Amino acid sequence: MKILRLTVILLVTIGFGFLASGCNSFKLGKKGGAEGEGDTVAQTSGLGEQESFGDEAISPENRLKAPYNQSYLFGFDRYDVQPEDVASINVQANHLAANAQAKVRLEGNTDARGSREYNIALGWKRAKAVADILKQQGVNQEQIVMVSYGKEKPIALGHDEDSYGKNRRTDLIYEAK
Amino acid sequence: MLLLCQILKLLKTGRVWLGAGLLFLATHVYAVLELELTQGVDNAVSIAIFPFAEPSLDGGITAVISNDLKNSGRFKLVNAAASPDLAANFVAWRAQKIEAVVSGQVKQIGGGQLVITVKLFDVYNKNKLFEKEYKIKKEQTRKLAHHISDTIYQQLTGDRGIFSTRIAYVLVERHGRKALYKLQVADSDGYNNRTLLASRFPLMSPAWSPDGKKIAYVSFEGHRAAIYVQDIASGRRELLSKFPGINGAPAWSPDGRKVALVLTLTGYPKIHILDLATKKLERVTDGWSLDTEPNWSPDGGSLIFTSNRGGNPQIYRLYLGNKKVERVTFQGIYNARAAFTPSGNAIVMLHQEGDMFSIAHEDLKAGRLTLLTRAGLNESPSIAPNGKMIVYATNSNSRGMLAEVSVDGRVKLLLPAGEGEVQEPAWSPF
Repeated sequence: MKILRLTVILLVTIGFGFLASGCNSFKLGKKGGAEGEGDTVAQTSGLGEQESFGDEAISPENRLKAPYNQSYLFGFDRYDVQPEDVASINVQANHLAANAQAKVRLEGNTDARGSREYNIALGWKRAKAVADILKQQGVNQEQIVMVSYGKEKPIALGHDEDSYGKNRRTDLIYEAK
Repeated sequence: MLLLCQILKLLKTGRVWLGAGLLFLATHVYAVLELELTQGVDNAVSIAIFPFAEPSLDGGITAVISNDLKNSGRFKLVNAAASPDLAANFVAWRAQKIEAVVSGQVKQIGGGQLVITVKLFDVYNKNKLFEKEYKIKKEQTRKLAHHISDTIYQQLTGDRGIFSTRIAYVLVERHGRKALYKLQVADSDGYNNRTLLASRFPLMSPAWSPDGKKIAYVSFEGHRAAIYVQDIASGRRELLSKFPGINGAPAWSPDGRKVALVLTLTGYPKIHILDLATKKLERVTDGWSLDTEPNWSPDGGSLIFTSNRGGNPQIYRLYLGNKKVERVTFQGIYNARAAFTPSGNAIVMLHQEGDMFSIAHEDLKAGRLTLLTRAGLNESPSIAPNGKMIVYATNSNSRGMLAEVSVDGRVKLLLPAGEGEVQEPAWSPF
């Protein structure tokens, strides 16, 4: 009984030791140092993947790279993807098709004019336009989440053509890479 | 051990913060919305209100009643003098063309209680229309003042007053690229605003249940659209709908048993009706159009909704009995977000002409459309339960704020917000 108790205490202590040192040192393969060199080998610990909040700035230079978040603009009263965006969407589609665990959230948006819930429906059309291309390129429905924000999440707050143009967009955000 | 590591990681990234971003029931004592009458009617009733007591001792009752009646746009407040001789008073007041007089009294009776009496006089007929006495706790003074305003308003206009009703709305506080969204409820004069929900994610479409005890709303918590129903008194809420895609535009049936809403289960936004007791969900529109913004007729027999099935957004009516759909609006290239007036004979909606978005009224029998606002970027009209006033959102100097207009277009009020952008007002039932 005493041995069992001691074993449990030992196991729990080791367990807490691992937790305290960060979960990543527990990952197989992350331990550094050559085998067989014993106590003289320096121990490395990986810091793990960087956390992301899913809203990293969308950079134009990453348009043709995956998995990078993207933003696709739409013309006034238009719900079809612009021809210059198709290449970028295809790059993302290829990544998704090749990586079953990858998942994107498509957020459809409109400019500030008009009724809020009707704009949710219009934003949906813009998200769907990108989703349809992804699916045509072989991406599974389960890898795509669609949300329409209508005019609720403007990135430009003015009431002018320039701001309107910036807000008519579908954002493609990776929820899993 | 590995599983525990995963759980710790999840906690650290904040993905499992279910209640952390949400705050309930914070109370403020100053008004976020302040009414500013900008236009009244020509034939306003001329009324004098005598102070109920010394200003520091009347608990604000005189001011609240005065503002209520003044802001309805149907009363013109005038000053008058009074002598102990009532008969002589009537003669004097009539000479000043005063039509009605309110006098009252506030008495402190200890224990934090007040006795308040109020009298309403019809000057032209030289009689007392009513006299009432109330015993209340001091904290109820404002509420009683609104009740007295309702009584005076009804006695003199024949219409039920809305001074004891409330307005729900969404307040957006922006800080650079980030925003905080709050669902708030205030008295209809803008006072006593309280937060029902605060969220980092957008909130939309507040809709009062017919008994005024719950509010349905759309929330985008966790980057997903969902409809919740929240009990106002307790702050407890229930998830009503969280299908993939759109969950939007909740609208309660007049008997409170069903909610119409918009879902994209077919891939396109369609109107559905959810029975709250049986949880049965029925899709009531079909096709590839965008159908949204349902609202019930007062008799519960039909829904009006916005649809682009004819090309541009227009208002359509679905008769729930035979499922017939007919188009209701034929003027203008864009009509949306329509709601029935309490009589069921007219609708109020958002109407576009050129660059302007206006609030418009359409008489259903005559098919005649009238613009109620003539300037600015307006949206989200909501009708008061007495059918006399409409609250809506407007954009003035790039600030989102609320405004009110009477159903005949004659009374106009602005409610500038002290902080943030105010949008999507919803007028409570009585």
